[in-house]
Amino acid sequence: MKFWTNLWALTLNALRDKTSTFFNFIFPLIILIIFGYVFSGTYSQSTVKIAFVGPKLPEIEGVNYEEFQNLSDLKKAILTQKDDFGLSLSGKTLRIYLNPSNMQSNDYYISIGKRISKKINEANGIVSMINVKRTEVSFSGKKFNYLNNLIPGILALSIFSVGIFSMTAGLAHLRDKKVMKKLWTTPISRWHFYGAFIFEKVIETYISILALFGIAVMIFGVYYTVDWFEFTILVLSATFGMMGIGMIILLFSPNAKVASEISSAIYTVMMFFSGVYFPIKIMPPVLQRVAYSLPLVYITDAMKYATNIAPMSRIRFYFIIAIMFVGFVLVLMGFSKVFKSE
Amino acid sequence: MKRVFAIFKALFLSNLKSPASLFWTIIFPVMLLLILGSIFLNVGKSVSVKVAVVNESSTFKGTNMDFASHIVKALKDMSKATDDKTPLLTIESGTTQSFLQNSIKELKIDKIDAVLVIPKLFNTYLYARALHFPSKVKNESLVIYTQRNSQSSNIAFSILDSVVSAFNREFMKHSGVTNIVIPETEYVSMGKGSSFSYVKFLVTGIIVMAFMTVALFGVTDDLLVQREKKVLRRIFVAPVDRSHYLFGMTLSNVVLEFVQLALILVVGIWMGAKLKFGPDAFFYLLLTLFVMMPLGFFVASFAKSANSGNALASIFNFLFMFLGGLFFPISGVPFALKVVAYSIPTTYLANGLRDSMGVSPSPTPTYLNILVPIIWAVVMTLYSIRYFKWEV
Repeated sequence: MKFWTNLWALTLNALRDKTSTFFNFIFPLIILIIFGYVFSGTYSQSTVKIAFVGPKLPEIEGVNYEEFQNLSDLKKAILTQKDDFGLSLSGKTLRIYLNPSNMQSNDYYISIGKRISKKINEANGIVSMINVKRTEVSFSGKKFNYLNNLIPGILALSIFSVGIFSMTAGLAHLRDKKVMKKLWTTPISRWHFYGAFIFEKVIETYISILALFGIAVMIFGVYYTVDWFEFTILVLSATFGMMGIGMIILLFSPNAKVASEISSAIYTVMMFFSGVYFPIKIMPPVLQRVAYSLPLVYITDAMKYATNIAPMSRIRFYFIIAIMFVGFVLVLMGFSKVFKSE
Repeated sequence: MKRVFAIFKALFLSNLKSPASLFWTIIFPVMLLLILGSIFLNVGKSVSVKVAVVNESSTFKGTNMDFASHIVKALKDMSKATDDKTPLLTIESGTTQSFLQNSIKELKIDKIDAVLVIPKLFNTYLYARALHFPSKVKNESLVIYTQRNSQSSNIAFSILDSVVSAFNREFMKHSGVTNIVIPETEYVSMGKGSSFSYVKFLVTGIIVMAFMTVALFGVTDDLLVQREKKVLRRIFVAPVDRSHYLFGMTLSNVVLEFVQLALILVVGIWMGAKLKFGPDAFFYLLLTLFVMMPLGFFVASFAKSANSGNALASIFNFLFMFLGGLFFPISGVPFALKVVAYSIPTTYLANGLRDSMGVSPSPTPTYLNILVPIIWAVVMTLYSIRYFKWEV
């Protein structure tokens, strides 16, 4: 009975706490929308603007040409991003002019340039001796785009932030404001309170992740075949795992402000090492080792597995779940032995 | 002046003694520069891809017409390490159907990056084509299997495609075809002796970000926390005018920003960024300082508490950082986000700074690079003067 009373009180507190609602739901949603559009736009450009000098070039679907009289105007248009890239056909060379700052898109532009040169050769009756046929395969057999990969990563980041901040912001504030000290003067068992706190945070995280997932699917029109059992168990275990990390931070922090600052710093650094925004494979070996020592990479991989985007062996998935549940043990240890409520 | 200096000294020392302040204002921008710089400097350098080559060809084996084996040999040569560098390719080769099935399974689970299949009658087809014989052999293309949405798979495909293109060119050369059009890539630079580097692009973006975080998380947090804890009320009981406090706080943050700037430039130059420091570069640095400082007061004017101020500051921080093109160009975003991107001051400040420091020409006109941030600075200052409450 006391457990449910505590749970109800903590739930109402969470619903009324606008800051908590902001960081658990609205902030991840803003990040999802910004990153979803910023990082997916270049990979799915419907029309590419090409500046060209010299003879006319063959028409290709999805390409708009803009003619320039000289090379210097063409280069200026590329550098000032008025056009995506440039082409000039001179003799036997089709020169592809690229803006070096467009690192995300340049490979795509080079492939378009190669297609155009192939079309020019075919028009001149020159057909390649060796043809290449590209066949794309995927783990699930389905057609996924960059966003399909990005969204599970952002969900993993959200679990990470909610899990850690629930301890370093939520619990630390209750400690600092002496709320817990007052509670212990009442006949409320500490374990009723702690149990209710953990339960409320886990449910809050699950609901916010589900809502975020649903909104992402609606806004970006992506499709997933989710194994709901594995998805649920992953969200729950990852939340415990991250709460465990939050508990460690809390144990070393004198107050809520310091705990929040440390959590923010860790969150920001982990964002870049999570493999969400750029693949870990492109990092230098030293940074790859750093990335693989952080839990977020594994939560991201497990989330991609649970949403059927990427393969993973069942054993590995459940091993990650088990490690995350170790976080739960850390939370309990922190509550029971070392955590100072005064 | 003494009072302004006293407040400046107190706030500056307070910032230096605060680990959180030191982390966000000094350590974090440098750390970000090092992390992002080393990631993007590494792109294309130490990447190595794993490819399975399935040579199913069964004709002209062991003869000069065994074109399939020439391709396999070329790929194996690329997989040899030279000068202690990681080889670009790691090759596994086989000839059987079961090897092909296993390779495709491994491709799907990300153990390898591509599978190249040379079909059975490949040599016969090429021989017939080379001699212009009519042949009943249908078009025997090489098949390259790649994993969808995998960057390393795309890299593997590019490498294999380049090898095939090289073979095609050799064929053309030997056939006497001389007018084949070959694509070549050129990266456009700003001028003679100037070459683009991502580190230069990043340094300028991080300078803008660093100035912004001092305003958003330094000024906002200080003001709101001090207001909440009634520190401001006690300060103004003393013979200290609000303007003294404001000037002292501004001076303290400006000095902090100069320290940040020096550190970021030292690290950037150490990483290889060669930047120009003409009068226009100094102008944009001062403009960035001048525009970002009122941002902290502006956010503090909206917020009723330190918590809500922190939340608001986080939104501004993310929006201005990522939509302002501070780390990556934002050319491919949808129209709605482009409208937001071209309304925020960091877009113009970053463009102007990059142009003036010789990184890349500004995609936005110079007058907008100055006007839009100044409008923001004026509006934010006026709003803060009108609405910021020194006591709640």
